[in-house]
Amino acid sequence: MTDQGSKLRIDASPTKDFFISMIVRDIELVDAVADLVDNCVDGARRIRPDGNFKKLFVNLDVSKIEFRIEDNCGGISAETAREYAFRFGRPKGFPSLPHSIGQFGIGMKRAFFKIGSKFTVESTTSVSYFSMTVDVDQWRRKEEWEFTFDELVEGEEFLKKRKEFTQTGTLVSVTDLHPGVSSEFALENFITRLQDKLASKHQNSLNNGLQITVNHTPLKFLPATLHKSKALQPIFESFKLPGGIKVSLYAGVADSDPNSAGWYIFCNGRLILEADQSEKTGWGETKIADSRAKKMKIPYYHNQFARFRGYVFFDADNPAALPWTTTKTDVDLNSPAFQATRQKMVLAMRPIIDFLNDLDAERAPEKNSKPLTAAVDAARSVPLVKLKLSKTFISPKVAVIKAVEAPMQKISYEKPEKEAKLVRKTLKARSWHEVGEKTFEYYFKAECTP
Amino acid sequence: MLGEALGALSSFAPVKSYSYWGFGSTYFSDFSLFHRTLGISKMDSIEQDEANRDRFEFNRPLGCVKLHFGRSTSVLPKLGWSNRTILWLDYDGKLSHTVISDIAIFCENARSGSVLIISVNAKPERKQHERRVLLQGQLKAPHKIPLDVTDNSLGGWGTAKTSRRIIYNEIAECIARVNNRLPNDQNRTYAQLFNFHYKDSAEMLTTGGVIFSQSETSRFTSCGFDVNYDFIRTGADPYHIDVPNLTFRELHYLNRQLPKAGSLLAKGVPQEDVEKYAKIYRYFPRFTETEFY
Repeated sequence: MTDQGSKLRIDASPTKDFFISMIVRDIELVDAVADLVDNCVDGARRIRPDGNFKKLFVNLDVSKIEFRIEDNCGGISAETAREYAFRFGRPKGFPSLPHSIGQFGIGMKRAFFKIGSKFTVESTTSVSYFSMTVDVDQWRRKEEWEFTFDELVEGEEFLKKRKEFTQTGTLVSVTDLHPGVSSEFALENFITRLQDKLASKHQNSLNNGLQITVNHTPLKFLPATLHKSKALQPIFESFKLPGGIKVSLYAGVADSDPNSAGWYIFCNGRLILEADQSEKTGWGETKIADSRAKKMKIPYYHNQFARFRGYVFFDADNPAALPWTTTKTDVDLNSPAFQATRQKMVLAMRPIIDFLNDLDAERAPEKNSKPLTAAVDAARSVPLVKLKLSKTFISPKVAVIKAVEAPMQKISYEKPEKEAKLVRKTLKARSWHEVGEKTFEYYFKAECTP
Repeated sequence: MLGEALGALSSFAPVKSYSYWGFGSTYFSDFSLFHRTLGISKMDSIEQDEANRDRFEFNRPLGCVKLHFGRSTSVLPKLGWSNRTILWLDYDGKLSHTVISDIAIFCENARSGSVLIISVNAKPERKQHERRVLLQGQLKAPHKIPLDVTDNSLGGWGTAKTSRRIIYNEIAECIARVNNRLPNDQNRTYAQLFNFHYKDSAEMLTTGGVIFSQSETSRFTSCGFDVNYDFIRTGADPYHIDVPNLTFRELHYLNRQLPKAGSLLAKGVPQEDVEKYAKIYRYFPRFTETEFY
C-alpha cells in the first residue's frame, strides 16, 4: 500500500464496546432470556418438522451467580457454530430453517452480553461436538472479531467416538453476571415474572408438548379458547398474504377478565403482543370502512369489553417476511402484511363490540329476559384448534320489540324545598322523579278519570 | 416478644431515639407499651377513620403521640423519615395492594437501621377453588404470587406462609430498586427477624425485620437477635404462638416452678397446655392491665 493510499483510507469499522452497548440497550432482561428459548424451539422444529415436541425439554436455572439453559432440541453443529451462529447478523448461505423464530442472527449473542461477562457453550449434534468459552472483557481488548473452540470433535473422529455422544442438545452457562442482572435473578418476583412471560410467549410450543422448566418448576399454559354454543359462534378466518404469509384470525368472547382482554398476535407460533388494548390493534379506529364503504367507529378499549378476545397467527417459512420487531416484543406497524390484517381485525371487532354493548345493556334491572347473558353462560370454552371457519360472528338475535308506546311528555318544575320535602315524606317516595309521577297520577285519577 | 427484641436494637442505635409509627386505633396499646418499655417518645399514629377524630383524640394515651388521619398510603409519605423508624403496620384485613404500596414507601424512604413489621389476617378463603384468584384480585398486580402457590396450598396456615413470602419478595424487590441508585457501600439488605403465626378468631401473621446498609452491618450483627431470642425466625419457618387457657391460680402455681429443666406440673391442666405455657411464660401478661384515674 502506498503512503498516498493509506492516507486516503478512512476507518469506519465498529468498536466492540460500542457494538456491545448498542445491542443490549433495546432489550429487557426477560426478553433476552426468551430469545435463548426461541433458539431451543427452532432447534426442536428442525428435528421435529411435524411440530410434535413431546419428550423435548428446555431447562433454565437462574440464580444470582449463574444462568444456565440446557436443552435436548438437536444441538448446534460445529459447522454452524464456526460459520454462522456467532456472526452478528445472518450471513449469506446460512441454511435457513423454514418457519423459524430466530432470524436476525443476534438474539443469542445479545442475550449473553446482556446477562454476564463470561459464557460457555457446549453442544452435541448427530455429527459433531464442541465446547467454547468466551471471556467478554478479554475479547473486547482484542482486535479480531472471532472466538475459538476449546474442544472440537467432528467428521471421522466423531463417528469413531459416536458412543460417547448419545444425547444431542446444547448447554449454555453464563457467569460473572452483571451486578444489576445478578440482583434481579436473586428476586423471587423476577423469577415469577420470567416464568409467566416465557409460558405466555411459548404457549404454542408448550401446547405442542415441549417441556420448559425454570428453576425446576415446569411451565404451564392453558390453550387459548373462545366461547361457543349453538347460538354463539366466534369468527375464524384464514387467508394468504404476499411473501408466503399465512394468516389465521380468531375473534370472539371469553370469560370477563380485563387483564386478558384484547388482541394476541403470534408470529411463527411465538407470541409477540399480548392482550393488546391499544390503537395498534384497532381500538379507537375511525378511518376504516366496512363492506358497505361506511366508516366504522371502534371505541377505545373499556372494561365493558373485558370479554373480548382476538387471536392472529402469522406463519411463514421466511421469518423475515413477518411483521415483528427485532426484539420480538412488538408488531412492525409499517409492515404491509400487518396493515392488511389490521383491516380485517377491525372489521371483525365491530360485531363483537355491538354484542358486548347489548350484553351490558341486559344488566339493567328493568330487563326481564336476558337471552344474550343466557347464551354466554351456556357456551363452552373451546380451544381455537377445534373451531370451524366462520366469517361472521353469530350471536342470538334479540327481537327488538318496538312496543307500540304512547308518545310521552316530560314535565319538570320547581317548588319551595320545604313543601317539596313534606310531599315526598307523605308520599313515601324514594326519588324526586317518583314524587312527580305519583302526584301526577293522584291528580289524574282524582280529576281526569270518570 | 416484639418489645423485647426491639430493645436489642440499642446495639444499632439507642432505641429511645427511634420513632415509632403504627395504627393506634382507640386502644393505642402498642404505643403505651413501647413508650414504657423502650422509652420512645417520637410517636405517630395513623388512623383512617377521620369521621371519629374526636374519639381518637380523647383516647390518646400520651402527649407524645401525634395523630394523623387518612389512609396509610397517603399519610406515610408525609411523615419525616430522617430519623430511624420502627413502623408496625397492623392491618385489619388480608394482604392487599395497600400493603404492597406501604412496603414500597417504607423501603424508598427509611433510614438504615429502621424496622418494618406487618400484621395481616391470614385466614384461608372459604371458597377453596377461588383462593388463588381472590388473592390475585386483592394484590391487583400480576406476578406477585409464585407459580407453585395453588388453591390447595393456601389452605390451613398456607395463606400465612404465602403472605409472608409475598411480603418478603416485595421488600427484597423494593430494596433492589433502591440499591440501583446507591453506591455499593450504601447498598441495603433486609434481615427478617419475625415470622409469627397465631390464631385468635382467625389465622394471623406478623412478619418483619430490619433494613440496614452495608456500612452498618456490624451494628446489626452486634444486636445479636438470633443469638439472644429463641422466637426469631429469619426464613420461611414460622414461630407458632399458641396461648393456653389457664386460670390465675394455675399461672401462679406454674410460675413458682419456672424456669425448669425437668417436667412441669399443674393439677388437672393438660400437659400440652403446660408445655405451651412454659414456652412463652415470660411474655404472658401477668396481670390484667387497667388504668385508674
